[in-house]
Order: sequence, then structure tokens, then C-alpha cells
Amino acid sequence: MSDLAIETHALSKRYGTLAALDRVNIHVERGSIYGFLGRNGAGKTTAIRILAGLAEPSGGNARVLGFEAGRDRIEILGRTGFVIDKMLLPYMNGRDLLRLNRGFFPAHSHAQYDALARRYAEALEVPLDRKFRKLSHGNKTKLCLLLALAQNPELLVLDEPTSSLDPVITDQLLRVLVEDFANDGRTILMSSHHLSEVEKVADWVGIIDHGRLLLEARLDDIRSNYRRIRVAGEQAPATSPEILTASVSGGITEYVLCAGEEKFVADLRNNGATVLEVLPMNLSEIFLELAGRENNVPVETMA
Amino acid sequence: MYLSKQWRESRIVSILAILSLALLFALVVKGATAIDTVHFDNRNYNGDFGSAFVPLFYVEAVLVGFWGWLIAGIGIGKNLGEDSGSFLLTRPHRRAWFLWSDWGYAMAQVAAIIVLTNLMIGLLMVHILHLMHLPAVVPLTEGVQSVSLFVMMILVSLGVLLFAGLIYSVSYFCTVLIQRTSGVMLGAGIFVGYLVLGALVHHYYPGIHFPNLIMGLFNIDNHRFSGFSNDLAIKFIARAVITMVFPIAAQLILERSEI
Repeated sequence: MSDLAIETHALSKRYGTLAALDRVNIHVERGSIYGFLGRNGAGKTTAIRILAGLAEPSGGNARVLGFEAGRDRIEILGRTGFVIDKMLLPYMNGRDLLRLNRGFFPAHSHAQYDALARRYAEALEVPLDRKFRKLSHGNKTKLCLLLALAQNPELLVLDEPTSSLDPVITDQLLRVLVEDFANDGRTILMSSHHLSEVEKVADWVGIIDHGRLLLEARLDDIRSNYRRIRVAGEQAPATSPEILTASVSGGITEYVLCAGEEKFVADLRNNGATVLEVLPMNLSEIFLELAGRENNVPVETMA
Repeated sequence: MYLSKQWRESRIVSILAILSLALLFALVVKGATAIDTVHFDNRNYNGDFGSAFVPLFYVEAVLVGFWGWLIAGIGIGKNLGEDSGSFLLTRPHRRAWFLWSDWGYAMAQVAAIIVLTNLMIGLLMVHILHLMHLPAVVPLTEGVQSVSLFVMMILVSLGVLLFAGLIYSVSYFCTVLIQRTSGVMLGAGIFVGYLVLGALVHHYYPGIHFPNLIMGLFNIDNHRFSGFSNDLAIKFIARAVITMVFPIAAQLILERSEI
């Protein structure tokens, strides 16, 4: 059995001339929480839809829990909880929806399913007696998540679960995901553009922009290894495979490094450059560095 | 469990259909009760008995066909239009399973209503024939002189089922094709277009007849059911094949659709 819950190889999706995904390689370890980050339209939802078998890739392939996405759809869907559109049958209440969903998973006993549903419904505080269409946006999202959790999946794939949720519901939702689900050694892939939330819970992050995966790394590695280095002069003479980005502005060259900070700084000094400062970087700064270069990034994503 | 979803979505339409057919039947019974008071004598019978019921069959076919059209808007096409399709289609079942569940459920409902309705109509006909001291047979043409009322009602039921089934299948196909409930309007447009085109073609080329949607089942010629011809079996098979083409095409489309 592979150590990877999700693995894509050169996954591509084209809509006419637009490359929604361009040779994307994602590796999600079993038991990890993977934050799939990107701006609106970056390609996150397209990738998730391919994993769920709702869309076909134009090239490459994807494996989910060892099964080929698309070809082994049923096996994947039996083991994975997908929350994509956050839209259920509007005329049904939570109890009806749980019953309807239970019918699709005959392998689980009714008692086990009902017990899980009760447990998560209490944890998430979902009103089960109200029709779906009458629920608030937050409760709709929570009910979608509840249905996915009640089917006791090995893997949860959530497309922007916290979008438009207030901070209290967001916190509640993330707590349930981490404490009740992921702590059992199960895997979560969660797409988002809310970096602070992902930073709270994720072990790994992948940053996608314009259909291309720009970065895939452990969050701890980002915290301990990624550095911003400012150097006086526009001709700072240093090259290294660890340089993520380099920019020159106002007589100062700024490097973003993903590793090898000490050696790089030493090389710069040996070349006669004056190193002004070496700063640690957080996820937001990395994200802005990679995905926010061309245009303004909304303030919410900078939070 | 999926059955509960289908019932929840179709129950209002189903109850309305049953009520309208019940109303129709009540009107017929009221008429029959009035006939009861008249002295029946088969000496007055001129063979026009069958044609007296033909308008009833037409009304039944139109009502059931309309109902088939309405429930075509309920199913996976509707769910796709409401964005709940991604929820359903990420349940561990083949897409074809959803489609054929919808189709099977709708056809079973259509069949049940037709059988019940025709059972009531048949009993009424037997009652009237009994009052007239006539055997429960229906006069036919095309070589066959007569057929039992029971056989006739089976053939009528099958014909109405195939008619309603075609309307349902075409309209359901359209909802899957455009991935929303309003596909039923396209389905209605196809049938209206077919009738208009058929009338125009017949007007300019009188020798050309488009196939009758009810397979000419209720045609009356010289007080006899001329629609019950010897090639009826072929017509039924051809209609069944045409009807099945649409859910199969819908399945092919749904399986290749990006949701």
C-alpha cells in the first residue's frame, strides 16, 4: 500500500486554450492534513473535481487511496468524503439527508453510521430538523461536512470549507476536523485561500497558481528553512538552486530562499555583498511571494 | 433510500395525476349510472359501443402523457441544475444507476396509474355490456373480427404506457442534456414541433403521414377498432425500441459529462 493518500502525476486540464491545471504533481501523505492553497480560479476546485471523478483530466493521472481517479470512481467514493459544492437537496432536513446518505453506504452498519452522525452533529452543532434551504450558509457547510464525516471515510477532501464562514464557526469546524477526524490517523486535503486557517491545522501545503503547483512543502520546513534575505546593491552576486524568487528594487536585492540560508549568506559575503537582514517567513509571506506577484491580493488572504 | 428522494420530489405531481384521473373516472361513473336507468336492449346496439369509450382513452393518454412530461423534470437533470448533482454523483454508485433509478421509478408509477385507470374503465365497460346482454368482446377490423375486452384493455394500457413513456423519456433526456429542469420545455418543444411538422408535411404532401404518437390505437372505422391491426406487435416493439433509445442516450451523455 502506498504511503500517499493522493498522488497526481502531470495532472492537466484544459478548457479550450485555458490551462486550468498544468502538469500538477501533488503528493498527500496518509495521515496528514494538506492545505491546498491558491487564489480564486487557481485550479484548486478543478483538481478536486478530477479526484472525485466529476471531471476528466486532459492529461496525466491521479491516484486516490491507491485507486485510479475516474476509472476506479466507485472504490474512491466509497472510502472518501468529498465536500465540493456545499449544496444538498434543498427540501430535505438534516435527518432525511443523513438517512438518504446512509443508503449509499451499505457496508457500514446502521448503528455505526448513526452513532458517528450523532457524535459529529453534536460536535458541529448542526440543526437537523430544519430544511437544508432554510439553513444559514455556515450550517449548510456544517451539514455537508457532517454527511461526509458520518460515512466514516479514510480521506476527506474539502473544497474551501471555511469560505464565507464567521470566525466562530470556522474555529468549530477546524477543531472537529483536527481533533475528531485527523487525530485518528486519517487524511484531509483542504483547499482554501484563507492562509491563517490552513496554517493553524495543516502539516503540508501545496500552493497552486494559474494551474501550476508552485510549491509543495511541509509547513514546519517552511517555518524553519524559508528565509527572506535583503542585500544592499542591485548586483548582488549569488546563485543557488534554493532561491525561490529574487527581485531588485530601490538598490536592494531581495531573495526568498527555501533552504541553505547560512551557506547562501556566506557566499554573498564572500562575493562582497552587504547582507542587510535575514528574516524568517510565514505561510502568508510565502504565498504572497509566489502567487501574489502580478496583481493585488485581497486583504483577506493576507490575514 | 433513493426511493424516498424520488417520492419526495414527485409526490405532488403524482397525487395531482391520481386526483385528475380519479375525477375523470368519477365523471364516467356518473354517466354510467345515468345509463343504468335506461332500459338496455341489444336490439338497439349498432356496434358503436367501442367508439363511445375512445374519447375517454384519449383523455387518459393525454393526462398520463402530461404527467410523464411533468415528472421528467424530476431527477438527476434537476439535481445537476440545482448544484446538488455533485453531492449525488460523489456517492459510491455508477452514474447510470441514478439515471436508471429515475427512469425505472417514473415508468413504474406511470404503469401503475395506467393499469389502475384501465382496470376501472374495463370494469365499467363490462358492466355496461352486461346490461346490454352483450359478450365482453370488442369488434375489430383487419381480418380479426373481435377481441376480448380483457385483451383490448391490455393493448390499450400498453399503448398508453408506450406513449407516456416516450414523452417521459424524451423530456428526461433533455433535462440530462442541458443539466436542468427546464429541459422539459425542450422536450415539449420537440413533441409540438413533431405535430406541427407532421401537419404541415401532410398538408403539402397528403400522401405522407408521420407516425401517430398513440400508434393509431384508438382509430375507429365503421364502428370498429381499426387501430388493432395485425401489425400492432411490430408497432409496439418499434415504439419500445425508440423509447429506450432516449434513456440510453441520456446515460451516455451523463457518463461523459463534467459536473
